[in-house]
Amino acid sequence: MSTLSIQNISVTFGGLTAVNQVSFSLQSSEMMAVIGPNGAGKTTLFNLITGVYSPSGGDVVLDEKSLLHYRPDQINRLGLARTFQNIRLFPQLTVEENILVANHVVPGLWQGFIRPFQTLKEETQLRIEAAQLLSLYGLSAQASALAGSLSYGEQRKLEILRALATKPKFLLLDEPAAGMNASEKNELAGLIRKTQEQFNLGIVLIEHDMKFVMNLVPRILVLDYGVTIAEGSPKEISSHPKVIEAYLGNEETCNLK
Amino acid sequence: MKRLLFWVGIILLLGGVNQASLLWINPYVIQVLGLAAIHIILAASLNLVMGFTGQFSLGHAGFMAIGAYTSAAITVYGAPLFPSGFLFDQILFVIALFVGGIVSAFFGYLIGLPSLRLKGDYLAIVTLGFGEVIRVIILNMDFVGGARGFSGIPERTNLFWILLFMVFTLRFLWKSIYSVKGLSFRAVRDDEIAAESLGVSSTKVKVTAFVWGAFFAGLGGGLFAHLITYLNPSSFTFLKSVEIVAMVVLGGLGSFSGSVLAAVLLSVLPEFLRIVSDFRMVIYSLLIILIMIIKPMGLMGYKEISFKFRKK
Repeated sequence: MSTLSIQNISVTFGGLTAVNQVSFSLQSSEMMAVIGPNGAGKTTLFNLITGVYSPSGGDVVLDEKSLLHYRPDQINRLGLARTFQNIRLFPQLTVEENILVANHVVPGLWQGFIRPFQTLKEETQLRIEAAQLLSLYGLSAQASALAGSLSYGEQRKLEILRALATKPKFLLLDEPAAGMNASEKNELAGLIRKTQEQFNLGIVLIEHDMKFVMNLVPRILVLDYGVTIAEGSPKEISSHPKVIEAYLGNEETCNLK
Repeated sequence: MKRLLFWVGIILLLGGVNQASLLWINPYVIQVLGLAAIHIILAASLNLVMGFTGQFSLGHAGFMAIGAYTSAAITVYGAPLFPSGFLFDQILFVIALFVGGIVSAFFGYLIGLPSLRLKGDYLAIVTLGFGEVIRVIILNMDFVGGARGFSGIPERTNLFWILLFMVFTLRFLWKSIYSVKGLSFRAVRDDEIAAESLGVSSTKVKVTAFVWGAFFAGLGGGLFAHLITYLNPSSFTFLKSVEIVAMVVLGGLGSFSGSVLAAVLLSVLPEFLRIVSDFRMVIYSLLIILIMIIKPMGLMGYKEISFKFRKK
């Protein structure tokens, strides 16, 4: 069992505090969601956790090990994988290759030429694992298609699979359901739940759509202007006055006229 | 075992080609073919850096110069220390080529380091500066002739060696880039941030690409030195780098077959255009423009010509 804990993390860009003293912690069998209006700092929070930005204060701790001062690729190797809000697949690689990239094989050239026995064995093993992952989300038929040619929903799924291929302890999903219609969202929710149970990993997901998260996760963190305004179960969140204010606006401002 | 047979076959075949060429083809044509094959080596190695890893480099002539001068210095100054005779000459030549490649690779490592922080146009300028620095340093090295040029290099390169190293380069680059180990290179090209989020160290990938690109450019330079038997720093200016870049772009960034096609085209075409003498370079340039308009992704785009389909 691993623990990911975010401790009072903050970052400022110029004069703007994009994330301000946010804390939460998660076990590797739990799911939670981070919600909030546009510009609330959700994606920035992910970028801080995965080492894309370095925080100006606070700490990210995975199993008592601070992740500050690690590069994004090292953080991934330590067990954190993520997807991106705007899909970032490798469009010129095939679907299978996209997954094979995520295998933590040390890049090298001469091994590909000489192909020692070890490398060949490793390759076969990796291809089998990739095929298993693809069948999990029903993408087996497209294995040799270019990733750029997949439909939007399939690209989203492939990005999640690719993150899973790095065998993470925690998976950070940045708006996995963005741009999907209701039935696609339902299917995705099912897949995420299944994935969480099968791999027994911790999942944090960012989402706009309150309904989507309400049915999926037991715990929600609400950000607004970089500050945690509420944390709790979906029920508590949906009736929390500050959340309603952030999402729907304040009663007084409506009455100003 | 199959691989051993492949190489024995290639060596026998190329030996035959070489003997036949000496008998049937005139030396001028042999020289043009040789230069075309050297350009293939240079273009393919630059494609590894530019097309497959996405690092814009304008310093390839610099790496070529390092390989050319190093290997030439070894065959010129090393010959007295080595027993003479056909076989020993060839051995010394091959050693010189590889040392030239390795020295060049070392400089590739040095120039690869700043590429960790620089991208695109900025990196291009750094590599451009690097190429010029190399050239100026050679200009001031008297034991390799300085500005007078380095003459008296033994003629060791023949069609056999050039074609052998060409096959070696292409096979090496092809096999490695299209293996699982080579996937990270194309991943970094397509999306560096995504590659890093998947545990690919983009630093390692870029430096590796620079090192191997420089190694093969050095090999090509060594072959060039022992084909022409005279080296002058002015052969390795920025214009030479641009010529190689043009081959890579014209052939298609990320296609070895494209590099081969474009290298042959751009080496052989000027020779054919000698008929129109005065307008030679005008037509040459116009043709390049035309090809880029018709095929904006280069001759091959991302595709490869392959006899058996690439393992998917």
